Amino acid sequence: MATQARRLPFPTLAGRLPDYIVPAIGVLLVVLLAVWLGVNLIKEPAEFYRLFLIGLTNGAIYGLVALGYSLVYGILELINFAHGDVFMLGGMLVATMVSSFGLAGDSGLFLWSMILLMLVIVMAFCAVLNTTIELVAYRRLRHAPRLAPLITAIGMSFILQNVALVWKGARPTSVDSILPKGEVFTIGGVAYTWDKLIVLLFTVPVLVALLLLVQRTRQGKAMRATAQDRDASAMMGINVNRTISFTFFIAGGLAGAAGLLYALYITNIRYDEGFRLGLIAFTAAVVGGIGNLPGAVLGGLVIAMIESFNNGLSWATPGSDWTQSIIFGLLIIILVFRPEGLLGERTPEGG
Amino acid sequence: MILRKRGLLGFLILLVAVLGLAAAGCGGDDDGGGDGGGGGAVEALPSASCGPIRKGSDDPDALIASDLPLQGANRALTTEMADAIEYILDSHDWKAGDTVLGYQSCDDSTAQAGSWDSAKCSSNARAYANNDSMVGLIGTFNSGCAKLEIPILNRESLAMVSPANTYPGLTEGGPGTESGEPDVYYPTGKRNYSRVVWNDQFQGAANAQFAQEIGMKKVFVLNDSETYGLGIANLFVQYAKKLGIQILANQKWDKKASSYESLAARIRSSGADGVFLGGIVCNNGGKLIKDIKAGAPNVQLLGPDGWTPISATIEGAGAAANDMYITQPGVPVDQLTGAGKEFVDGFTERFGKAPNPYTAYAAQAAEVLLAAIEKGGTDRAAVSSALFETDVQDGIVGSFQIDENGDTTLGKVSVYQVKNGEETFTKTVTPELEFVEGG
Repeated sequence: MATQARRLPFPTLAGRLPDYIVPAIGVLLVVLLAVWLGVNLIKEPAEFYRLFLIGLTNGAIYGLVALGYSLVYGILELINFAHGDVFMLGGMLVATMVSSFGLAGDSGLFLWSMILLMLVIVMAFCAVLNTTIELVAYRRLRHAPRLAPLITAIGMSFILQNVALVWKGARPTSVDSILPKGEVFTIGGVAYTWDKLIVLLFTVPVLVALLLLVQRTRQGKAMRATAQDRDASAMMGINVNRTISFTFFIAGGLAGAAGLLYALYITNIRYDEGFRLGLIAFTAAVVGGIGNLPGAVLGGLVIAMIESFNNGLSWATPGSDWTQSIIFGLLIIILVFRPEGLLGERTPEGG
Repeated sequence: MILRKRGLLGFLILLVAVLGLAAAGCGGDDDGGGDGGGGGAVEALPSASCGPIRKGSDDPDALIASDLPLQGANRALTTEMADAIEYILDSHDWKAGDTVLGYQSCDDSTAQAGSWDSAKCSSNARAYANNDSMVGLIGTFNSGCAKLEIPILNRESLAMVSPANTYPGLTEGGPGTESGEPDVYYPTGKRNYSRVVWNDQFQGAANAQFAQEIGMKKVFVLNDSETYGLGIANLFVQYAKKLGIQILANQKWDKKASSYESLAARIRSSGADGVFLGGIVCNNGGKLIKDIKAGAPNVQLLGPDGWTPISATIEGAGAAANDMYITQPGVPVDQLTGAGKEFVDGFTERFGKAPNPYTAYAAQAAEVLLAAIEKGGTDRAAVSSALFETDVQDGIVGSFQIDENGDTTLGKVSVYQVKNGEETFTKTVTPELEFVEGG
């Protein structure tokens, strides 16, 4: 007992089992998953493609929100609960703009320029809002015990929800469907429509731009340095407060972009949607490896695919009753066997 | 290492926060509320939940109250129901026999939930039970709320007449109920609860019959996993199977999901020709209908009275609601005769609009309670037992009795269809009692 304790000062589940068990379980799960997907693909290929496209689109939206969680966590090690609600308020703002600009039924260049205009407005709005939240609720607590900013974050989340409740009421706000629904191409008899493609066309460049920003620019270097060691970077002449503000600004902009896509694609948004989506996105960030940017998007895709396939496939599928249990069961499995998330042992500041 | 520990800690805290967050529905306008304004001899119910005492020219000796969700999607309907109760009291000169009555309209909902709230239901029930002036309650609207209120009122033998609870287990065991029901709600063993609307066994049977009539062969059933929604879905499944309709699935829709596209894909690939939606419109019903119709445009939607007022369904789902069938209790208000027609005409004249079907039931519930108070006076136990002697001839919703379980013997179910964004009456279905009871 004593020798074992010395060898394994922190015995984990994985640590107590023979070496081959963990990979074996992992391989078994992957094989089962592959068999399940394969059989469904062969039985009903059209449905499979349809669900894959649905999952891809929802996953891109989850990923965009998850990026914001990951960025902020990476730099402050703070789970910004209010992030989901910033996203929700962005969506509400878009809903308001769509109806007040009277965009229903428009098309062509005018529609696209209006969508771009809305994107700029909503990103600016959410970026400023998120920076303000940092300034008001988190900055002064930077040296407080870690639980304190966590609680203020939950508090901010409720405040934003109540703002939305007063603004839009508890009923879901319906957004006019303005994205074109024509098909881009067809695979296996299933049409891939423009509204789905647009979501991807936003997410991929945003992810690339964000990676370039964090890895290649001076500002990104400052962010990584701040994440690694705040005091040392201050000594090196980095303005820590401004760097953190900048991070919140970027995260807010991402939330705004996600809010726009969500409002236009899902066409329905509720005052408590942010909390729900925030939970999914946070899970996505943890699944992908929190602090890791491509991981956040990958995690979002994984969760959306599970949701979509589990709700929609018909062969040996648990069905929608079990979707949440499966998603969070997966989270537990991943955290137990691979605590650093899917995309490996990178440090939070690794980008 | 530090990273992983904090991730886990954060996740645990997140879970706690999720568990602590109250469920939310739809709706939203503020309640007009009112001050607690008091009569002379009677003690008013707390103004936190209840409006001022409404009364006639004489000071009341006793109080009755209604318990309805006055905020949220059903607000227009529930305030109309409260008006109908006042209208009935007015037409009786605020008297039941020798007892002069006052009336308070109480709210069991919160703005956040946009529908009934369990904490509010419980605290309201305690307020009614502890108020010595109270002789009877008209309510509740939601079956889940009734589950909480009946036992509290039962301990004080306070009579309760619901115009809208349709969950069967409140009054009897059998199809669509849980074990131990209904006795768990009556700790004293003596009944105090009755309803003027049929229970969902009738509605489930009527929906199954109607599904067969319109030629549904393979039905995909969805439920919102609440007391009412799961109950009616299970009942529909049970009766539909007896009629030889194939049930492809009975699974839940997650009211907090952001989209139901993948669920719609499954419905489409299952080859269903119809979808039965056991649940309420408040649980993201508008988005659900939109997504089902987008993903599986050829299925016929059928829903129980959880999708009423039908205007709320139309508002939530827009054009996707077209062609959907929705059932409601009783017959359409414009087909009522006798006392029913008098009520509809009088109500329309006074309030400037025709009442909803449920408003007629609220008026009927008020009549039943007044008749019981006439027999029992201000003795709570006597009023409660008088409820079970109810025998209404040509009442507002028709002729019926209240049986020993507290259920009405009136089993008419009306089917409406949404056409071009308007609700239109299709037909009335009256399932045979043998079919219903045979479950």
